[in-house]
Amino acid sequence: MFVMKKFLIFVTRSPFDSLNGQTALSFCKAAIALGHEIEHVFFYQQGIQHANVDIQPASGEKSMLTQWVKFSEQTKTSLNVCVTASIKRGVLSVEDASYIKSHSNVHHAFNPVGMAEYFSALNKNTSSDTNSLICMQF
Amino acid sequence: MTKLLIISTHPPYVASASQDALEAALAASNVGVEVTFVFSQQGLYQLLESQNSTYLQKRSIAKQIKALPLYDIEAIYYVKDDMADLMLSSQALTSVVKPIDTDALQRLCAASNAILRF
Repeated sequence: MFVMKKFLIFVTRSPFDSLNGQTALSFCKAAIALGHEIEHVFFYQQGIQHANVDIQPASGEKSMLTQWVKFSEQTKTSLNVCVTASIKRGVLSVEDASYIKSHSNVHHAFNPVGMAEYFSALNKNTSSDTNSLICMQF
Repeated sequence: MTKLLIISTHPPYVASASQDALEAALAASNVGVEVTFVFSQQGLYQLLESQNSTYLQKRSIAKQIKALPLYDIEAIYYVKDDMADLMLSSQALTSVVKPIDTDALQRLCAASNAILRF
């Protein structure tokens, strides 16, 4: 019997320095194709670089950002990026950029949120049904 | 209550992982998640009493670890089996952290709803 699982995805490495994000995205696509659900994708540590519009892949190389945006549009999956982790790494939301009169470089498909967003999702889902939520760290 | 296990495996200051782990722990505790914090492998270096971050102008990792109980994070352990590899003695480590063996770590992993490793 098919049991639908819900996954919470945590990405911690940057798109250029690691294949980690690509693996996470492939996992998300495979899970959805099999009928499972992605609660949201949360970007933390260097993973926040996935939201950085200023990253230019070398010519002929694919852009992880474009792929995440396409994935999010097609599957309506939320992409959440940790604001505290990203401001320290020079990836600024519109709000953060306005404080220091700099330009924002978080792609609009990504939601700048606090870490509480991730842990609240964890809290909500595990308290209602222990077996329904699986946390995957990439 | 949701049980989260955070495993911190990197030495302090040389990379952001130790700081990122502590910030994640506080954020989780803040929304009512029950956090267990375990130091393993080179993460044990974070527990050295003699560390001094003044020169680096970084927030002291040791002080932040000692403050964890103020944020309702009381279950703080280190994997004592990793001490020998690093030639550390328990006397050199901060006393808010209690030793556990690898079997106990496995039990903690099994009892947690989620695990984050830094």
